Amino acid sequence: MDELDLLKKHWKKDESSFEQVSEKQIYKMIHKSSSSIVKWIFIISVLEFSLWTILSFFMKDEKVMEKFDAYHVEHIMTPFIIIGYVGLAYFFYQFYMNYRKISATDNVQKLINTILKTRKKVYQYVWFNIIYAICSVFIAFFIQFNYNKEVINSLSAARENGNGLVLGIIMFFGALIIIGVLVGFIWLFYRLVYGILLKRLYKNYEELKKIDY
Amino acid sequence: MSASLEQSFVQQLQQNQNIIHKICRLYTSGDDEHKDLFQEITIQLWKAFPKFRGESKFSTWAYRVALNTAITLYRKSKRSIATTEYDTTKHFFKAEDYNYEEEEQLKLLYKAVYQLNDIEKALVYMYLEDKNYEEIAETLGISEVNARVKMNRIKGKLKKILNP
Repeated sequence: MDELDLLKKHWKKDESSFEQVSEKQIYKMIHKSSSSIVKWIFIISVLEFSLWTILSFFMKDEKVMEKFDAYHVEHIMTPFIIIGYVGLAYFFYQFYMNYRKISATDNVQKLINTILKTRKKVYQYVWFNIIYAICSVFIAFFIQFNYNKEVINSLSAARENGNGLVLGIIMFFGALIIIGVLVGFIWLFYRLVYGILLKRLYKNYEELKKIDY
Repeated sequence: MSASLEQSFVQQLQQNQNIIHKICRLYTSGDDEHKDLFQEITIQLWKAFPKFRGESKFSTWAYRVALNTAITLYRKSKRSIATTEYDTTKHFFKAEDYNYEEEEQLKLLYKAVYQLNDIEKALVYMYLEDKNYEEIAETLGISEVNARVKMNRIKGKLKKILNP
């Protein structure tokens, strides 16, 4: 006899061996909160959105902003700030819509797919922010070099002394190291979050894909 | 959600609870984990219940949500991660028709099934429940032909685990 057939023979009889849960216990259970992966993904994602939004508020140092205002560079700053807010609105909307689509009544493959898509939107938002941060560094450099009289004067002084190239190289690599550390840190953090939460999901998703090809 | 909806849900679930117990038996290895998963499935079923329109039987709808929860949504709690070994102290027979040899064989079988991956367990579950391949394919989101092929492979895999 096939191994599974032996199991099947007992499968239906097995029912009597389960400790039965009472209606009262079920009432209690449905009022407890879920600890599902989706809930954790949602909490972490909302934290990410808030973290980046709060960060961008704190980074707006008022003194620096006043200085920038004095340069009259609104034509550069305004579109850049608008892009930031449009990005936040777009990603949050997409994330929320995907999250709402998650339904335990879908088939397994579709369900995993929706969860991974939701996660991917948050991931893209993080990258959007990293790229946005890098761009702000460059824009800040650009504005300083072109509008800040002190910087322009000290640069031309350095150039006259023949140190212009050295100064340029130092600044370039300094910026590169800061960006590198930032990106590396965020990448590591997400590897950990992904590793813990999504490993099993990816594994099951791959398994389903493998069956179908 | 209204009290009558709640009552109707609790009653139906209570009557059909063995569906969930069976899924817990395949996906968990001990009593604590069994209870944990049972609870999470109950919560997910309750959350999805307003969408249940009675187009299919409660039992059919429930086993799908339950499988989804076991495969996708359930996160093992810390205390249950340590128990990777299948609990072989459980008894499957009642005292009156106890059969040592078959009991031992069943234990080995359950242990072997426990070693399969999450998707394979779902296939085994539906096979044991006599679901047809059309339904199996639909539940997992794969094609019928591939569901059949996979089921045969699982049988082979079980044979290998049991007779190394």
